[in-house]
Amino acid sequence: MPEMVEEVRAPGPEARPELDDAGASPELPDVVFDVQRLSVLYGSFRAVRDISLRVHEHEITAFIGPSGCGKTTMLRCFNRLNDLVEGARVEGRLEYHGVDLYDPRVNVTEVRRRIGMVFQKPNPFPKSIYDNVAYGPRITGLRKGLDDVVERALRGAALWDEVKDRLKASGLSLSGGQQQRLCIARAIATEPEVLLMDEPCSALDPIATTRIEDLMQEIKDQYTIVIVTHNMQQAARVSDRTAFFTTEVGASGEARTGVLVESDVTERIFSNPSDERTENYVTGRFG
Amino acid sequence: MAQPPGPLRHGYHAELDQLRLQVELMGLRVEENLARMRRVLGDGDGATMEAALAADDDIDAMNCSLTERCYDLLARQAPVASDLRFVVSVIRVIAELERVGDLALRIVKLGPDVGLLASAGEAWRILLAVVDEAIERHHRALTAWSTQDLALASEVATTPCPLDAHHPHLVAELRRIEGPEAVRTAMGLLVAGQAADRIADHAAVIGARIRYLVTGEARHLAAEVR
Amino acid sequence: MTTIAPPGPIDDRARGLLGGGLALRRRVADALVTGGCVAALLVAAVPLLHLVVTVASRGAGAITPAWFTRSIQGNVGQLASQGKINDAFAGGAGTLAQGDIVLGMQPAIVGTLVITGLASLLAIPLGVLGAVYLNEYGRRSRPASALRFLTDVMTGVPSVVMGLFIFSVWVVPRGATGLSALAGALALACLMLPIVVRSTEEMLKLVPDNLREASAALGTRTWRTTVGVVIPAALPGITSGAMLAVARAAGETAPLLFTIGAVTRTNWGIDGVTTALPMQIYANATENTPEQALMAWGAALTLIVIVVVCTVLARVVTSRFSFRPT
Repeated sequence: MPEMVEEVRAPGPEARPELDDAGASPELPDVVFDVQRLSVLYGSFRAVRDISLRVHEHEITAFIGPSGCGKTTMLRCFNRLNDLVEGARVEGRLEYHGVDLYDPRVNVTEVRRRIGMVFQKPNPFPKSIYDNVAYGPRITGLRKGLDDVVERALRGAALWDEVKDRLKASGLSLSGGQQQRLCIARAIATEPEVLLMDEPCSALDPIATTRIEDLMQEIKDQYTIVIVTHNMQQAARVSDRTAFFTTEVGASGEARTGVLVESDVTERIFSNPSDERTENYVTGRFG
Repeated sequence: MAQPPGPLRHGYHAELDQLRLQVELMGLRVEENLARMRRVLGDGDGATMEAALAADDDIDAMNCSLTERCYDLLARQAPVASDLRFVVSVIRVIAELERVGDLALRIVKLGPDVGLLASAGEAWRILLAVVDEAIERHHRALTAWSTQDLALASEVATTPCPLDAHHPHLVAELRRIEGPEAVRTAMGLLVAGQAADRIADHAAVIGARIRYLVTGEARHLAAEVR
Repeated sequence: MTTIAPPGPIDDRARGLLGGGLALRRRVADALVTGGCVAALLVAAVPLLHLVVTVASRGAGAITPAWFTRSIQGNVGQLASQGKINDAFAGGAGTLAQGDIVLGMQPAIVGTLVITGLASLLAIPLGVLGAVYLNEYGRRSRPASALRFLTDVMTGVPSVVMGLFIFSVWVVPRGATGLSALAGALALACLMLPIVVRSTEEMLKLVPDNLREASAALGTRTWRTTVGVVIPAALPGITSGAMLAVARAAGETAPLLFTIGAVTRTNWGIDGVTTALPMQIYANATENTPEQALMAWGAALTLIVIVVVCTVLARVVTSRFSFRPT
């Protein structure tokens, strides 16, 4: 016992690298998304204003904040899913590995293949479990080796052992937690680089929630994960970096616009945040 | 659709296990320094003194970082039940260990005077007995921590401090010291004796904390009031 | 261990729960309304049942194996040639002995199946594609709204007007070869099209948007999403809507009046004149002879059976192919 313990080195107080104002540092992992003064408008309504933050590789980044502060809007910009909403447009810059995602030359379907998404309410297709997971690969033209792809994706989503004997059963016959893991398997079947998760556990019971949180920790070193969550404690448990959003009333008293208050490593947000609004939100003084 | 049972929250439980091991490591470092202290009392070796001083810096640093890690666990994981008792106990135990380290240093700093103190005869032997008992009690407290042994912890927590038994005898012996250095000798012996006694006291506190950790009964918290 | 204690005194706060029930006035109102609903159901159901029973009883005598194999030519005048004259209006076909007359209706049955089948082949794919455009691509745009309005108007157009339209646009320019099963099918297709479009659009609307979003998030283009996810999800509803359109078209008489002509031989192809069951009902219902009366009732029964089979098929398809959570 003493030998094993001797190997473990206690980290000193200087273990955490010093961060500069922009939250970047030479030792930090690569930047996947670089958001620069992004605003999203639906028609004339400005949903989020002037957002600047960075998402780093192989980290879990959480967006937290009260209702209506634009977290989901922000998330849906990363895979251009906001395009599906009529009248949505974007100002500012959103770079993915240096490429502006809103450049007119960008191929949107290719973007969505590399940046997958899991939604709040599990939405498996009314097909068999196998066909659900195989849907993405089939779209990309894969005909052979589908069995392997499906198995790999289901194992990756920690669902294989529970469904391997009934792959032909309907996806809708699974429980809520299993359906959500099926949706995760479906999303990772196309081997994306990034996984966006929009409140993935809000419709699930605590045990299913914990399983999915465990899953996120396990797959973190293969994917980059951005998660929107209403549940602050989930962000505290799971994420490496947290961004806190809130709403501000517009200049002329018009509708509330979402703004980014603070984005930092999670330990700091939950032990010693820089902004008073963040402190009020995480301590539960103000919603 | 029943979920198959299996362990959850691997990362979090791994962090708790890590923390437990780190506390043991810190306890071992303190024990090493107690051994160095005993050696200094035996031969007054200057190199051992230096080593003890350097090791105490490490112990202080571990106290800081482990405390911060505990606060981080409390903030991020919101532990409950036995996990909460564990984290809170760790915070208390490492503070006790740090104090033990400082007390050992106080004795170590008497190193240059060891020759003088050793000439006190019976008083010196009493002091060594008290020191040895304190070291032994500290060792039992650490064993109780790593094995979570409630019986051992109870024994450590409730045994009276060594100086209680030896105090009258020690005072009598100190009175008998004569010579130009009598006061200095007596004070040195008394300081060392009190430091050793408090080391045993801290070990008892650790024992009481282990009792609270295992049983969850709040009365064991009150046992720490001295 | 724990046994159930005997009931104790009732707390005042719970007193109103026991006994009493509804007040008399409410019970009377309840009975009246329930009775009224049952009565209304009977009023609606009884004529339908009477209709079915009448048609079945009067037409059953015509259904023999020969019904499906012989042509219409030999139907009229059988009783006369056998020397049995009977008044069709007095006793009806019921006074005839079994086997007195043997009727054939093959040309009309074949004609109905060919015309309706062809009309379905024309209207259903076109209607589904139109609905896909309206719901997946056009949505609330100006052209889509205009198209939707036009479709709604077309559902209300009388079927005889459809027949007249095809008559003037298709039959007349072709002169002698104008009258054909194809022309009839075109007329029926015009009738079916708006029904298929609107019912398919409703079914597509019922597919929740989050399925489309999930497919889009996987990097799928809209047409692929429609073909791969939306239509399979809406398929039971689309099928049943299409079957109902088919059932409706099978029974239409007016459009066929001007478009298919009348023959008594079977025509298996789509060119050339043909006949259909509604035409035969129309032609024979007002005649005097028992043979023709029986022909009309028999054709009516056949038509009803076809419609019922279509409806039942629609229900079977809906229940069998929709993925229900087990």
